[in-house]
Amino acid sequence: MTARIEGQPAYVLHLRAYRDSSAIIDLFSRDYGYLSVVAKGLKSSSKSRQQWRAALQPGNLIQVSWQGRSELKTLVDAQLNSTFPLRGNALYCAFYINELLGRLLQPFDPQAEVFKLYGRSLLELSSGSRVEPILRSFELTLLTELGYGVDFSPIESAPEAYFIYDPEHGFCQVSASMDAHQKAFSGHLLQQLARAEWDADTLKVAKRLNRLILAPLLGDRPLNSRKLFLRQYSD
Amino acid sequence: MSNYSPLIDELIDALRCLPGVGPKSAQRISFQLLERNRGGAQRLSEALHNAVENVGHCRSCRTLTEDPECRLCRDPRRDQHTICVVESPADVLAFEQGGDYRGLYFVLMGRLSPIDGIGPEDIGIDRLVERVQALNVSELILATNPTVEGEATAFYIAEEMRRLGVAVSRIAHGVPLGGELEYVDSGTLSHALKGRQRFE
Repeated sequence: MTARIEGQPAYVLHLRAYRDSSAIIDLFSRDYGYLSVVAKGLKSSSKSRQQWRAALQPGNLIQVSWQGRSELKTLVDAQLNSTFPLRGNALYCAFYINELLGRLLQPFDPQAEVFKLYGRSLLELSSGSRVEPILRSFELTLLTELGYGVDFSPIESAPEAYFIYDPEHGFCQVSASMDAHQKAFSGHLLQQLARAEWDADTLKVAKRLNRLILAPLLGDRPLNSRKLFLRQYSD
Repeated sequence: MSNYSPLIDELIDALRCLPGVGPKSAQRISFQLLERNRGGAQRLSEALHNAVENVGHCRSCRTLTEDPECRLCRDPRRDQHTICVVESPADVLAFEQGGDYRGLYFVLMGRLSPIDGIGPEDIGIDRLVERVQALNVSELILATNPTVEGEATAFYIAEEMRRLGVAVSRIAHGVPLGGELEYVDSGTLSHALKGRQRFE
């Protein structure tokens, strides 16, 4: 692997303190995919570290240089490129998106389309649009790009039928006598979902479907950032 | 392989838990204490022991103290209807050195960090809500750090306070005194511009 990379565009996904004054930063770079760098002396009061601290906030787009031969790289420089004014609920959503990426992306696997998708989603979140359609589109596109996409073709010919989703076999048509309200998805709603026509019903279906697809990928470690929503918006 | 006796090794190893102290410094400190300053070492060991045994959290504001309630919370001259929420006990000290603030504090001992699994229960939000209700607080000042996690924490608390009908303010972000604009990062400058005040 190349020893030194200069001026790579990257999004900051997460920052955690490391040793006394350093931090480990998870980045999603355009050409090298997901990687972690250590920012040495980040808490120092020098000018360059103050700039780093401002640049290395989650959600920021930065120009980053790193070096090193091991998997954990050493940060050489970080310049702020753009920052998204995320507030409140949109900020919680950005945490969720960042955590999801951190869990699903493979290190050093470039994902140019996901990179664009991420920037687009943050822009939409910062514009104050409704968050649910943004999140559901993000999840569906992310899954497709990473090769876990859903095959909607069984639904096309049978909008009136009901389907269940199985992570291994995809959509399977079920008889109408089966308890349709519990587990099965309506073909009609799935068609709308495939066309990204969002309303209250399709958003609910998308949420349930995405959870089903994500569950085996996330394993037995649930996403932490969901808990914040649950607590603040449960009542 | 170490060349020292077990007790000295243990001391050197233990000293490395101090911030900024690596193996070499730990060794230097150990020998300094043992060779030249046994009295100081005795004092350090007693102070450390006493502090670790006795210092806990203030039942009102969660800051570090050996009393059930800290000095600031007990002080009747402090304004009992204003609470300033900060991330760490060091932040309380920073405000107190400024000397302008006369209200009470609430120390979160951290900040929300959803990805690391640090949630509202870990930073004592329930306690804060209880306190605000008990004191009939009229203003809650959010002084969490101007980081993404600090902002998320501020927003979370603001939402909780909105339900209680308590007025919430956020400390201003801006240009440091004696600073030069050309060296200030663009994010800070745009905050400073947005938060500008009438010049009188």
